[in-house]
Amino acid sequence: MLSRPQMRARRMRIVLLLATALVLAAPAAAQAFTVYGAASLSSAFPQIDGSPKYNFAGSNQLQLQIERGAPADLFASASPAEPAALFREGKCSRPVTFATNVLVMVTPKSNPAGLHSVYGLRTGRHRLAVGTAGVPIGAYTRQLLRRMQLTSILSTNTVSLEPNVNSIVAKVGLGSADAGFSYFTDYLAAQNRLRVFRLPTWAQPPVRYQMCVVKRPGADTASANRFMQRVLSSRGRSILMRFGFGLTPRR
Amino acid sequence: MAEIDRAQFLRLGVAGVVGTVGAGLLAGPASAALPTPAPKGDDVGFLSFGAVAELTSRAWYGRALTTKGFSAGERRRLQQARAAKGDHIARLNTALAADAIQPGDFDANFPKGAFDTRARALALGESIESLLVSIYLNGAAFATDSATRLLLGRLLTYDAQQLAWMRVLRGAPAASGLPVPLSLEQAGASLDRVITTPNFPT
Repeated sequence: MLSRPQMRARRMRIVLLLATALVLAAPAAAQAFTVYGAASLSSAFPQIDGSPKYNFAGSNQLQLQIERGAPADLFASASPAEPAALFREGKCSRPVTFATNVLVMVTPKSNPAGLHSVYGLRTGRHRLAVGTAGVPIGAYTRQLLRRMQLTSILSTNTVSLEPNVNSIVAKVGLGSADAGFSYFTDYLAAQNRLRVFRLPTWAQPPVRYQMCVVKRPGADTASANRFMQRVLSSRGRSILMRFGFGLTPRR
Repeated sequence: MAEIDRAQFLRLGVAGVVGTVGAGLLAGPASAALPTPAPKGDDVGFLSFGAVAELTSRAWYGRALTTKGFSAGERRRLQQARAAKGDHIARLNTALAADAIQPGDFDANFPKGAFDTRARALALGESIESLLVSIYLNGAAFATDSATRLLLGRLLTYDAQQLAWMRVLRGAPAASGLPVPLSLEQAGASLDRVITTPNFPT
């Protein structure tokens, strides 16, 4: 039988062991899971859930990073093309649509070029900020311009090609471009610096946001699934709506 | 010259009939095979507008079928036209390929009371068919690809007939002068009054 001091020492050792185990385990448990999101979600997503580590960029860049093994747990894209490609490659769960958007033309608040509509760009010699062809905002913009028979404005104006929608809005907001094409939600987020011009409904491409849980060794699938549920919840949907997104009917 | 008996004569006759019918059957599809549109440059604009307006028009025919005041014969024609619109959309989308318009991309949002009476419904239907005729006319004249022009011309012919039928139904002359081609900017502004983006706050 152990004496009282021996028992106390043994208890101390157990407590110390437990404490050490807890200290060692804590960083792993507290390590945030990572959400790779389209740049246009950079205002809304942190409001839905502040705990993940976010990486916002052009959806095509994020897709490429995930394909190369980047430590993403959830991928949210501004177009179905990127998650669909990852799903086909077995690197992502079946994508889920969670929001919609529309395209608008934005100018600096002061509108120094005096534009009244997108058709004003036909005169040429303006500075335009447009997404690259590979990023969803760039692909959508080109689709809209093809439908409106306005693709010529990409050659008659001075066009700066931007990697994501945040760069377009920043460039126009700073007055480095006379106009740019962005999502309606990005205009809302920067409306103190921008003026908006609606684009025809009939020519709008369908802008659909999709997300999927990334499949890779060591992925935090449970947290990614919880995040997905948060986005699809009533609270998540009302936050998305507050930021100007459209919502698809509940599944 | 060798003589032929009655049996040979009959065999030759049967072969001739079979040959003529067969040749006709083979030649029929060949003459009906039209060139496949390969839109170039701004051609996509005519086709895209056509697809969105045809979707809107099909929705109009669907609503008109529930409107009181149309006779049984008129309803039959409304049904036929609605089916034809589906075919137009399919043809336009085949030409558009990756740029195809899907039914869920737009919602028809007709003015309140637009189908309260036959006359109101016809006025709305006529305005949509007029838009289609004006854009097809523009496209048939100015599309770059000849097969696209042919498709737009064929659609123009059909929709011009529908437009004339609607005018007659409301007691107006079948045609009121020559139709005027419209730019996409002009026609788009009119079409936007009766469509919305689904699931997006307006």
